[in-house]
Parts: sequence; C-alpha cells; structure tokens
Amino acid sequence: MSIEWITILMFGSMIVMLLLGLPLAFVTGLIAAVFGMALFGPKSMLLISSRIYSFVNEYVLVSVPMFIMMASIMERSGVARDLFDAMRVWAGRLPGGLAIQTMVAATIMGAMTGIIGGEIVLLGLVALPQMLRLGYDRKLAIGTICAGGSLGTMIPPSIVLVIYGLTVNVSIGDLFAANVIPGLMMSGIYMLYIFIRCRRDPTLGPPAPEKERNIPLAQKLRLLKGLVLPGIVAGSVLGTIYTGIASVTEAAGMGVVGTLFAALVRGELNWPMLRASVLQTMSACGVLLWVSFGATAMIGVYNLAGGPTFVRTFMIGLGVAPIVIILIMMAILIVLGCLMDWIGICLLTMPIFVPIIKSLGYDPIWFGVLFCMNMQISYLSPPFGPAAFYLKGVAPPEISLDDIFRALWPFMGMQVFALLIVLFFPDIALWLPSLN
Amino acid sequence: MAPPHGDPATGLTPVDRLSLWLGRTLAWVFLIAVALTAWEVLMRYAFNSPTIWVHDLVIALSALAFIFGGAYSLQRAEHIRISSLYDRMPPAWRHACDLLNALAIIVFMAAFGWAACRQALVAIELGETSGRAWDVPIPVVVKTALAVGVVLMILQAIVNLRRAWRRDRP
Repeated sequence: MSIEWITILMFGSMIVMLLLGLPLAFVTGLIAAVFGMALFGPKSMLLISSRIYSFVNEYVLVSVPMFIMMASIMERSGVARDLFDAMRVWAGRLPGGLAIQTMVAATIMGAMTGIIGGEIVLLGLVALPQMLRLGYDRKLAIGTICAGGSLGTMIPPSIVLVIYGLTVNVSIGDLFAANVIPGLMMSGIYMLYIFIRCRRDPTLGPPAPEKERNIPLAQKLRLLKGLVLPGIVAGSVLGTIYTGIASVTEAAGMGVVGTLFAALVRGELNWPMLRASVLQTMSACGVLLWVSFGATAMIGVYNLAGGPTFVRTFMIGLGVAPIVIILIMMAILIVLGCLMDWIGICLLTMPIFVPIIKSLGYDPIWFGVLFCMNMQISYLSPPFGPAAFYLKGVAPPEISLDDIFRALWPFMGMQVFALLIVLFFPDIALWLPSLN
Repeated sequence: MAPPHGDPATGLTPVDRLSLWLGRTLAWVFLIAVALTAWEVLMRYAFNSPTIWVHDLVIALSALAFIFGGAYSLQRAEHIRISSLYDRMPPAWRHACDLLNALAIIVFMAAFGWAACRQALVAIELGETSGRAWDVPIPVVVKTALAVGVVLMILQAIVNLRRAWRRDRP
C-alpha cells in the first residue's frame, strides 16, 4: 500500500470513529494495532510497547499529575475566590469593570495553574453570577470566563508546554519564558475588547451600584491580602524554575507544597478534601496518559510507514513560501482542535511538523508557543470545546451549551488574531528566553 | 430498566471493584511523589546531600499510577470522546457503537498486551535492573504492571459493554 493511501486511511478512519463517539485513546490505539499488524507484523507491537514504556519513564511527565493536583486542591480552597474578591473591589466605574477584573484574576490564576478546567469552574461559580446580577451582557460574561479561564495553560506554568517540550525535546523552561508575553498579550487583547465594547455600549457592562462601590480604602487594602497566598503559590512554582533551583517536575512538586500550605493557612486542609483532590488527579491522569499511549502507538506505526517523510516531501513540494507552510500547519491544528484533545494532537502532529519547521529554519520554541496558542482556540471551538463544557457544568440551567458556543466566536477571533501576531512577529515570543 | 449485572446492591462486578480499588489506592502515589520530591529538594539545598533514589522511585510510582489509571477511568467512563452524535443515535445504533468501542479497546489491548507481556517476560528472565546509581529491578515491576494493566483494561471493556447493553434494554 502506498503511503498516500496509508495516510488517508489512518487519519480518515480516525476521524470517522471519533465522530461515532469512540474515545480518542482507543481509536488511535486500534488504528495503531490494525495498521501495525497488517503492514509490519507483530514486531511493530514490540516497538510500540517499548515506546510506551520509555514514555512513562520520563521524569518530566511526573510534573503533569503534580500540576493537576495543584489545581484540584486550589479548586477546593478559597484561595482563588479571595483573589477574585480582591480584584473586584477595584473595578470602580470603568466600563465593563467587573469583566476586566475577572480577566485580571484569570490571568493571575493562570500563573498559579498549568491546566484548564478548575479556573473556568471557579470563575463560573463566583464571577458569572456577579456579572449577571449587575446586568452584564450574557455573551460577554460567558466569553470572558471561558477565554480567561483557558489562559491556565497559556500563562506559564502549562502542561501543554510540558508535553510539547517532552515530545519535541526542547527546554521546557525556555518554552515557559517564551509564553509569558504572548500570554499577557492575549489577556490584554481580551481586556481591550471588553473595554471598547462596554464603552461604546455601556449597557453591556454596567458598573456596580454606588453603594457597593463605596468601599473605604482601608477595607480595599485589607482585601488585597487575598493576593498574598496566590503570590506564594505562583511563586513556589515559577520562582523555583526561574531561579534555576529546581527542574520543572520539582517546581511542580513545590507548587503542590505551596498550594497545600495555602490551604493549611486558611484552615481548609483535611482528609476528605485531600482524598477528593488525589482522586480527581488520578482520573485526569488515567485519561491523559492513555490518550498519550494511543497517540504514541499510532504515530509510531505511521513513522514506520514513512509518514513523516511523506508529509515533509509533500509540504515542501508545494513550492510555497515557508510561512505559508506554517499557516497550513496552523489550519490543520485548528481543524484537529475541533475533534481531538490537545495531548493527542501534540503527540500525533508534532513529531511530523517540528522536523519540518526546523528544516525550514524556524525555532521550535516559537512553534511551541504557536501550538499552545492554537490549543487555546481548541478549548473554545465547537462541538467539543472543553471550556464550554466546564462552564456548562456550573452555569445557571437556562444557559445552554449552544448559548455558550455562540458567545465564544468573538473570543476565538481574538485568539486567531493573537496567534497571527506571534506568527508574523516571532520576537514577541523569543525575546524573553533570549535574555538568559 | 433491567437491573445491572454483578453485585445486586452496587451493580459492581469484581472487575469493577478491582479497577476502582487500584485507582483509588494508587491515587495516593501522587501525593507520595510530591512528598518525596519536596524531601529531595530539601536534602539537596538545605543539607547538600542529594539522594540517588528519589528521582527513580518517583518515576516508577507515577508510572504505576498512570498505567492503572487507564482501567480506573475506563470503569468511570471518563475517557475523552465526542458524544454529541452518539447521544442523538437510536438505541440500536448506540449498541453498535458500544460494541465497536469495546472491540477497539480489545483489539488495541490484545496487540499491545501481547507485546507488553513479552516485554515483561524478557525483563523478568533477565532480572533487568535500572542500571542507574540506584540499581534496582524497577523495570521488572513497571513492565509487569504494564502487562497486567492492559489485561485489566480488556476485562473492564467487556464488563462495560455488558453494562451498556443492559442499560438500554426496555
């Protein structure tokens, strides 16, 4: 069978089975097993099991459950809620003030977590009711929470970057540094959008009543104490990485210690809470890791069949400018983002794409930032965007999933815009890591 | 609705219980990994005496949790999937998809499991050790766990299929 047909059959059958509702982990694994046995016989399975074995032997991978556990503990603690309250009292008369403050809180939380989910749930529980109560435009409020909450993997730390770094073998510290400015830029674009829209039409984001705004300065400053514990949590991870004290995994471990400390200080640490947190971590890891096993198996077989070389020859043979190839890759990632989880996309496409972009003379760190920004779009894109599902779980029942997806279009547009900016101006990403 | 098979009180078969128990027990491994990591960082910076074993032990423990996390989340039907089309299908179609799902798992796991078993047997025969500063037979343990974890996934897939089929029975 020619490689063209293998490519079409493998990825075509993958998409069909995904649409039928089969889990990604087993679809990719099945394709690996069928094509591996048919094309190369049982020996290919031995290759797969040894690849999976070496994958679970990566020390960096241990940071994934740690980042998840950090977020699970934080979700059950009032740390992040206090952070939001501390931000809220400063909203004042600013058009769309509460939404902008929500975005600021989301950005700070992004520096405390490396995953998405917890942040959206939390903002959905505390920020959404307040915005709706003030009479905010529903779409604006929903979009703010989903897009802001997704920044969890955009602002370092980020497990998306951990898995990318692991897959293509580049420095995760550099990836984190490279993501700082694009992440803040994304958050800035969202805030600017909220501000401009609410300024043109103040009914979209009315300020709080005078009575609620009149908080004495002393009390406002007291509420700022809510920033101390989040600062410790974020500092325990990012501080240990950037001072070079510890590896990413150790930093994530310190992050869990910092989060436990914050929960302890607040008197929220107890066995049921800890048990629920580790169980949530286990579920999330069981899912993520088996998607990785399946994807590792599938890309392993595709590799044996000469897939990456085929894709490379094909793309280079298009005879277009290198930047167009990057744009094509981004388009492919956006389409896959509608169907698959980020970790599956990363393990399936990056071993093919990154050698191509390297041979075109681009920096894989920069491409990692583009990948991460692209996955921000995938969190919001229908029909499967996880951000929408997380919010649906905690939103008032009259807000349907369709309402949520409809509210997300402008934010997806801004994400594409931000992605293009970093695509055409790589220095935005590469400047910070170039400093050390 | 027909009663689920297995234990009449909980509807759980021994396979379900094993998957859940392993998952719930091994979940604590992650907290142990955190404690060990903090210990390592403390020893290295406060006492200038890094350990040789924390690193490898943390990897091995997490690997065990990752492997058995598969059956745990399979029992809880948490594996990521696109359910929008599936939810709109008539029951007969859904049954077909459930069957396809179970077959996907079984075929994947049978092929991968055969290789994982061979990998484990080779490691056991050779008494394979990690070959690092802390030279212990970690590879034997993790490779065996991988093989066992795959077998458990196959059993869990069969149990899940039976449950899915019974659920829709009028």
